[in-house]
Amino acid sequence: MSSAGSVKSRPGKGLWTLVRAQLMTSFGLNMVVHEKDKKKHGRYIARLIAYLFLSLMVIGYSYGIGYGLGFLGMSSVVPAMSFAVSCIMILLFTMLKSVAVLFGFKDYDMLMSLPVSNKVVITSKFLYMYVSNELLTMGILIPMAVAYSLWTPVHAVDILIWVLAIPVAPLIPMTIATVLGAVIAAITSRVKHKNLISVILSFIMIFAIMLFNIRLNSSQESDAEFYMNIKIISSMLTDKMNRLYPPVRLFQNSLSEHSVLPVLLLILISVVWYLIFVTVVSIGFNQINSRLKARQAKAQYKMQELKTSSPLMALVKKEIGRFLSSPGYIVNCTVGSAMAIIFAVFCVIKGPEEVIRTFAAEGFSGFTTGILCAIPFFASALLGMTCTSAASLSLEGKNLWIVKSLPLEPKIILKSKIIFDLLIGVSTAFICGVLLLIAIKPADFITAVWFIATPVSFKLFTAVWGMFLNVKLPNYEWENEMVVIKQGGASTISVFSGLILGGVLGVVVLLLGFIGFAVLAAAVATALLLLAAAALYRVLMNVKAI
Amino acid sequence: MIEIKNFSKQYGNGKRAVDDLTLTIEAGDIYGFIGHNGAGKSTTIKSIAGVLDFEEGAIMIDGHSIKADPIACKQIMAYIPDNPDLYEHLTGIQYLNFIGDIFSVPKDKREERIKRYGDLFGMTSSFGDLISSYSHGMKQKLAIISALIHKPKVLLLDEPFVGLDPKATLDLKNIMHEMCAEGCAIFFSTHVLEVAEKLCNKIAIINEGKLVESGEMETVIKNQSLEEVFMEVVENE
Repeated sequence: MSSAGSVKSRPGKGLWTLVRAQLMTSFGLNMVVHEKDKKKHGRYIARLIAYLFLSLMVIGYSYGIGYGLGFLGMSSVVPAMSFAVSCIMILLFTMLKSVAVLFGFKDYDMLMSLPVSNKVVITSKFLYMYVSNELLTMGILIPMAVAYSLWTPVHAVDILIWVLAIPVAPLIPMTIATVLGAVIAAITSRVKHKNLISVILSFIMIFAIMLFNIRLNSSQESDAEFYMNIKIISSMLTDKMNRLYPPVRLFQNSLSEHSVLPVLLLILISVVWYLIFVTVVSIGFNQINSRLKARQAKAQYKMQELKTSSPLMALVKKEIGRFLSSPGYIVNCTVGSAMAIIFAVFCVIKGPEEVIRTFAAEGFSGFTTGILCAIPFFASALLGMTCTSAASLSLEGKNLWIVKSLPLEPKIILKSKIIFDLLIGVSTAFICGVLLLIAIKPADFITAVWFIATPVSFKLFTAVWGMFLNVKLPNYEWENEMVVIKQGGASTISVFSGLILGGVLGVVVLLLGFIGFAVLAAAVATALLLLAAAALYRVLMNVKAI
Repeated sequence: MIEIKNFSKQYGNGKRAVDDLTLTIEAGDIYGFIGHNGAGKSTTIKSIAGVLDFEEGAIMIDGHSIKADPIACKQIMAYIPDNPDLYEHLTGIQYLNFIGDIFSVPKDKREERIKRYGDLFGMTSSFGDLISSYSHGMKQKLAIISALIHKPKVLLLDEPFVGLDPKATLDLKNIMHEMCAEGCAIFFSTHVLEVAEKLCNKIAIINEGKLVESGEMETVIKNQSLEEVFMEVVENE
């Protein structure tokens, strides 16, 4: 009783203990410090290096945008842009994660048995998400602030404004994302087909946020207008961001007026908003979690005839079951495919002339053949963003003993995971290719072939590449599956590498189109993807142990 | 049936979890394996099952090395861990059918064994439910049934009686006797010394990774109880 009383009387202590426990397990930090097994320790270090590499990419990209805007004479847009970009990124990253972190989390029973209030539990979960989002915010805002300072005279108070804004920037988008997540959780906790509804709602919300983002960036009328009216465009962009996300205005005003008052108001609004959020969420917290935890057991089964399968098919079926059981897994590992299909549908709706015109408006005029050959690579970049294979091995988690104790060679286990990824990916790639064929209607047969062959080959490569990454960077010690699906070293690298590889190949093909080598470049790139996939597959089939 | 020769397992931290263990489990043996928490029981069982890799010594299952020919060994073996973490997204029957597929158990035999053990453990009516809805004991029963459907020649169990109700405990003991009579080798760890004393024909005691006593139950305990022998042996080490 006394210990319970002491925790209750000092809620801050209970809060810090809960936050610390979660942070220690995230990013594998605790493992890096305490793991004595050299092999495992090496894996954790590799995972940390992967995170570091990705962080450097985010920093470099943010600095590049800030510097680029300054170079174009639009440095006044940088503060609003940095704030808005970080908020949108946080909205996207937090929405799906918040469902798993705040609702239906595995340690719910254990935490509820502790002498801490719901508010402390919610705050601890929220702070846990806050730390990773704050790192992302810093990765975007600080480099953009540095770039901003190179093009704009900076007052001493401006530095203080940036320093004050950085910690509060994630608060409001995180709460909005969490509320959206809570709505999904609340609805799904009341319906029979929880997973299906959860997947549909998640997709709707992701695409709504993306639409919001597209609207934010769709202000450029034309190149000529853009360069002639930089000041007008700058103020238009700032105004648009202010309207779409009002707190941006406070940050922008603070910097333009060199006054801390607006940013202090921003801090006040964020904190009050957060307190309202915690109070509201804590009301339905137990109810939602109890419903999500409830499992229906009918106990009415009667022995029926069983269908037999080969070991490989049995493993593939198991992968399908695992996939369908988790809305987070479905959404995160198919969002790229969904985006590729939307891109292809967009091309069908717009028609070939309009698509070429859209690319030309982006500064690629005069490369018609190049654009045609590059389009499948851009669609592939979206397709390659997500794959199941980069997480499916880690998802074995505590069940790893099952496949390890069964008479299964590692290669058959890996093969089943690749096949499952290809079941989703290749079918999507094929549909995407056919839609692009319908949209672009290439004149010659050879170009038409690449519309199908390129996305399919790209998907073959990313499925094997994802598996390779997961074999090299496995993480079986997770409590929340979203850790390996969304934040895992293998899955994070696979998202960025798929996107970058597709984008880079697309640009190379597009540029080579200028000297008449687009078709050849597309053919060589596709062949290289297939060769790389074959080589990686060979490596995987020789893996001795998982 | 199981031959363990000079087996040692050292974790990455340099600690020797098991040190130079040599043990033979013959067909028809119900071999109990007892020791303190962290003595090396689970490490040994997991290594025999092929779940853990090891560097020193050799483990042979029916003449096959678990390191050189793991598939041949696992084909005739079944392992049940101390905490049965099963695929929660599958229903009980889907999990059993999955195991049947992996071992290529013929359809008629698979159905007959699932029905038999399902009815015995009172699990058949729950086979259509997701494993995530099962209690710990139900998961344990399902893990036991899954271990029996391919009729293994070697059965490895890590604390098999934890979480089982009294009837299921008795049923499992009867199954172990039945399998033993058919020439199966059973090796299991337990903390319940009374059960080990009554059930096993042979016993091994491990302390801090070293095998301190092993052999026929009567030879090991002589006129004492297993509990007395265990405490004596462990305290003297």
